[in-house]
Amino acid sequence: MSVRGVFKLGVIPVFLLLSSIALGLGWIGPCMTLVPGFGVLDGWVRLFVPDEFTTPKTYSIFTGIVALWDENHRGLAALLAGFSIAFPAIKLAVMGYGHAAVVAGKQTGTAWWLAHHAGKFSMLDVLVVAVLVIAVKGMPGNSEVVVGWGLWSFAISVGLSMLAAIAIAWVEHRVDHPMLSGERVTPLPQTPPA
Amino acid sequence: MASPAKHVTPGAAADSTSGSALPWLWGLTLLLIVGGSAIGGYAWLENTAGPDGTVSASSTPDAVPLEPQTLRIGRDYYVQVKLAELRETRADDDPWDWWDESAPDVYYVMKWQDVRVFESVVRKDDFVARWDLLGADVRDVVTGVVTGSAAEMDIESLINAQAIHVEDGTTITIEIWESDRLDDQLVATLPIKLADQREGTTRFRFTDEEQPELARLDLTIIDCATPLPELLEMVGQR
Repeated sequence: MSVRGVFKLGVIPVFLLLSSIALGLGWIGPCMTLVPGFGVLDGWVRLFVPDEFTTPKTYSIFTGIVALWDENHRGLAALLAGFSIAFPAIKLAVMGYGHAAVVAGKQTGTAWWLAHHAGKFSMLDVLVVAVLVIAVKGMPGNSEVVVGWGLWSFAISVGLSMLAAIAIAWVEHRVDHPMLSGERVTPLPQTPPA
Repeated sequence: MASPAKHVTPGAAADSTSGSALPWLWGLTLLLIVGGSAIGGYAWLENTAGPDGTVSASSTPDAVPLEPQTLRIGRDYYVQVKLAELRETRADDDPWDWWDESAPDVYYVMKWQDVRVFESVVRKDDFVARWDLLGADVRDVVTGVVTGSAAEMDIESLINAQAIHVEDGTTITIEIWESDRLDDQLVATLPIKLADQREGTTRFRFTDEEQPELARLDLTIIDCATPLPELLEMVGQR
């Protein structure tokens, strides 16, 4: 099978499909659970402090953004929504377009180029949770952040979309070559040894 | 160099036709898959777990529902008098504390197998005496916090109730007493067959003929295996 055939029927559409499914699940799956700890006073605090302060709280990316919005951290909520919900979805759509365009023998266009190069920022959510995990570990009282499968799903989605973008770019740059296009060509004559 | 569209590969014509006809269709399809995954995943989480993605407590086998249910033979239960309401005067119409004309000082004693197993604190000057299921001596708390030993105090020691092993025929006796400086006075004696009782709080109301000095009594029975969060929820239902 030619490179174009592999490109069309092979890994890139699978990457994009899996990335889409993982992104949807990553939005709503449990992303992190904040487990409050109160050190030596743990038992007493849990007895006398209202549940809302002592029970572990689990957030998905979506509910986390909603919580930030409700707590009036609207700039941060908008930033995370932009880079975690809007941008990855638009990026996948643009990559789908880019994939179809390359299959059709066209250029991917500016939108695809922007999506590909700005894709690194899609890991913003993963970075935020990573910082939280480290920050909370440093707090007294044994509080901790437990990472949920939603975050991994989101990270896998971003990773797969980046792989797909790299593959599309790679093929786009090389598809003009007759050897890669699948067209039968005459081999270049061998240079006689000196 | 030839442009990619001009390459002659099997299926390339079809690729070109389908790809150029609806270049955004593939992108739109991916968006729909993203949305479908999110909606499907949310519905799945809602059906299998709580809204935060955690498994609900009611799915654990030992979880006890808050609805009353008949006590199960062979299990341990916390038994506690939650409330005792005394009548305005004694049976002979004398005041409770005649020397200072105050309301009665009430406490209760629980007997099991003919021995005293629990005695409550005294509620002073109260016709409607109440006892909380959980309680702690403030001095112990302060001392524990200062010395750092507070974390060593277990929940069991804070429960103001007696654990009773319920078998068919297990009977306890609740005695309501009025604390007196000179001599405590017995207000009422109530034998209670536990196998006939239900979990939760049961209210007993008495006529003058049944109990001349006790108007009502609330008895709380809780499975000793109740998870702490539900126990605290019950405590909150005062």
